[in-house]
Amino acid sequence: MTDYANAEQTLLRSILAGKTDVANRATLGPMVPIQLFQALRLIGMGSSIEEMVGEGAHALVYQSGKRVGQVLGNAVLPKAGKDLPKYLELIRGVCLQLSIGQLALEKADNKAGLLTLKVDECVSCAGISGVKAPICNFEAGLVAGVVKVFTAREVKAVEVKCNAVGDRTCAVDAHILG
Amino acid sequence: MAMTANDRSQRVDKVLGTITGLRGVTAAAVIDSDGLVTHVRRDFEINTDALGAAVQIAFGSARRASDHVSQGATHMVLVENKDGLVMLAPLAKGFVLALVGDSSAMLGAVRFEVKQTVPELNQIFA
Repeated sequence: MTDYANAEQTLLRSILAGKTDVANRATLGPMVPIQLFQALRLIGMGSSIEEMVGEGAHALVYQSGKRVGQVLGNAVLPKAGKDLPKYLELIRGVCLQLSIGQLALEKADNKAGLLTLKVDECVSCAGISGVKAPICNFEAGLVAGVVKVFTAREVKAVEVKCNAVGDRTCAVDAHILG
Repeated sequence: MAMTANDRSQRVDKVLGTITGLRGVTAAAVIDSDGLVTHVRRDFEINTDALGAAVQIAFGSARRASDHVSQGATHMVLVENKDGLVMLAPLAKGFVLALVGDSSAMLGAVRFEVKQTVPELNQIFA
């Protein structure tokens, strides 16, 4: 197992246990400014990666979010069973705990195999403006992962609204594939 | 008449079937810009999420490296390995075609087939 994989396990255990305290942060505590997260997300996993791998950056960030979404989904699924509203409520709870955003189901079209989830106060793009296209690939991937676990089917998630382009909220269409 | 998603899938599957019919080609996949494997033909198990992201990152890196030496558009990326090869070719709308071949794959034949296939796939995705 690589060091990143080891660190991932430690982090996920802490998140899934609902822990808010962090060791070795006696003075500074567990919270950081949102700008720091956004610097890591939009520079570290955004512009700087884009400089190296071009459009591959989108896939990298989307798939990272998807992986986190699948971990969260698998953690809450046993408590929700086949109850979608309950499942999404549990996911919403984790998203609030981590200040990812306020997740809510906006639309469910079973016939079309489409779920639309809204993310108010999205951690990636709150306070960001002046971009031409949605930039919350991580959150789109997260939604894909969460819905994939519940439906046990492949999912293509597309961010259709983004606060950073002036929509005042983010929304993700999760297309459940055959 | 517009092509339905089902028609499109069938046509892509048929094209991928032709490619995997080539000697030594063990997998062929189409990957979208988010790294999602939208279509795949293979005769072995693949972690499609990891493959999709890796393909987009590898292709993006190659294209970006080529930008630095001002050689224009990237038409193909070839990875020659101890036991085979991986070939990547860009399609329209950020899709990438990925092929996997074992050591019996004939590089020239695979390359020729990919060049024939790209316009056909682009027509389907247009």
